[in-house]
Amino acid sequence: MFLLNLTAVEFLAIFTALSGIVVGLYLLNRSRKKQVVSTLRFWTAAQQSIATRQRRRIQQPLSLLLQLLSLLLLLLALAQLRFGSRENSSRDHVLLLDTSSWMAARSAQKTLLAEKTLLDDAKAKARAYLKALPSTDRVMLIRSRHSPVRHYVERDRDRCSVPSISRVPEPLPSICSRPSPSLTNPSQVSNPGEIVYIGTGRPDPATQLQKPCESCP
Amino acid sequence: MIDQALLEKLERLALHWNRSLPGSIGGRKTSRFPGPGQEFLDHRNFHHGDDLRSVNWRAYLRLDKLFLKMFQIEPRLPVRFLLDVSGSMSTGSPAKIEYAKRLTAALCYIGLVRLDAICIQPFRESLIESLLCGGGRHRFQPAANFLSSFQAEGRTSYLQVARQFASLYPQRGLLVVISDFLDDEDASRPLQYLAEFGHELLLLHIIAPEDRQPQWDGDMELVDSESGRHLELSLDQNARHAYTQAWDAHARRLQDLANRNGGKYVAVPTDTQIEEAIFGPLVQSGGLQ
Repeated sequence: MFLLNLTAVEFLAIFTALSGIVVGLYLLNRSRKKQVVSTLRFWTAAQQSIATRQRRRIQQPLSLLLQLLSLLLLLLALAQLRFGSRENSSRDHVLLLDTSSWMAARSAQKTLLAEKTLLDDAKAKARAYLKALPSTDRVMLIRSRHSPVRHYVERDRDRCSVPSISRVPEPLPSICSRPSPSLTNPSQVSNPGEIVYIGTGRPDPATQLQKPCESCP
Repeated sequence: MIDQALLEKLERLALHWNRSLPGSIGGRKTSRFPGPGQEFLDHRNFHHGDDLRSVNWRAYLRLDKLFLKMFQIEPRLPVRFLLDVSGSMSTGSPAKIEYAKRLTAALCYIGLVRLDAICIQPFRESLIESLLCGGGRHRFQPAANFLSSFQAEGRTSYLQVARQFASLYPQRGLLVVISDFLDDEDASRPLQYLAEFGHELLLLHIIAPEDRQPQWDGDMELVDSESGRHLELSLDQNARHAYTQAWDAHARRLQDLANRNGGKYVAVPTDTQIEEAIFGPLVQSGGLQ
């Protein structure tokens, strides 16, 4: 069991700090309710009956426990608790980058240096996607060609795979509308993650798009 | 203050007192004390200084002895309402002072219809401005306006009020005390003083629900509505029970005092409608007929 987004020390530190605030507010919220009464004469008799009892520190312990429990569960959800070991917890993603001739079109974004193409935008989006993934996940970069070309992206914790994406050549004739069966066979993927497509989504009008595989969702 | 329908129902009631007290003529209840009336009551021996006009001369001619005729009277007794307008009457929902004012107005109307001599005497730490009224139901509106002008404020001192009342009103009569009887000192001694002075007491104990059975729980800071003193308590069921027992003992002392002196005690919770309070506990106690 491990936490995906936080270390154990970080988790404990955050939980301790928040719990301290909750308990402190709970104890501080002990201000006595003010009530105007007709006379205090008969309350002296009541005061004598409770003089020996000490004021309880926490009057509703169940409420405090439930608050702390909900805080713990919320923190666990944010930290993304995972069962098993960290080494076996990575996911495999597929990044399908469209390198067809459609991608040579000029991009709507303009820079001072040169005009950008849709492929440049796609590369930027791919880099951003890779940056957002956990460091233990694996990504297979597929450049769409007549026959797709696969690259397994080696990702360092601190760097995303800039070289792999940068080496993507200029747009090619058309996107492959019939992806390779081995590419999309779920049995080859140990821990399936996401399939991300970055492109214009405009196949050859003469071809028909087919479902990648029968068992795919 | 009181709607017309209730006023019409109140016209068939009358304030009742048990004692035979001396008073001026014009009342409606026969007194056991003789006086200058019309109906013959009895004879007694003539004493030096008696009025010769009341001598039975026929009996003197026959018996050669002077006898004085005594006549029955219906004295017109003063009915005084001692209304508590101190700060303790401001608590409760509705406030006890509003309920007390409406109850006083209703009883005042009953007395006015029967041509009783009514005196409304509010008090706090001492007696404040009073109102005398009488002579019929058309005098009710000034009395209602007078009652509406008071607010619950200040402290209470029954001892001082009793002393002032006894010196201000030497004539004995029916004394209706409308109060919550929550004084820092004991209210029993001053009331006993007034009863021994000769007044017939009708104690109307105005009770807010939280006065007898408070529903508060936990850590409380209680503030006295009159003195402003603070008391910090942690309330639970045992504490509330002890408080209720002390309050009940106080109410029993008042009831014993009234009964011991030939008067009446009526507990009137503020969550009871005025009509129900008048036609219920007040009529049953004998304070109204």
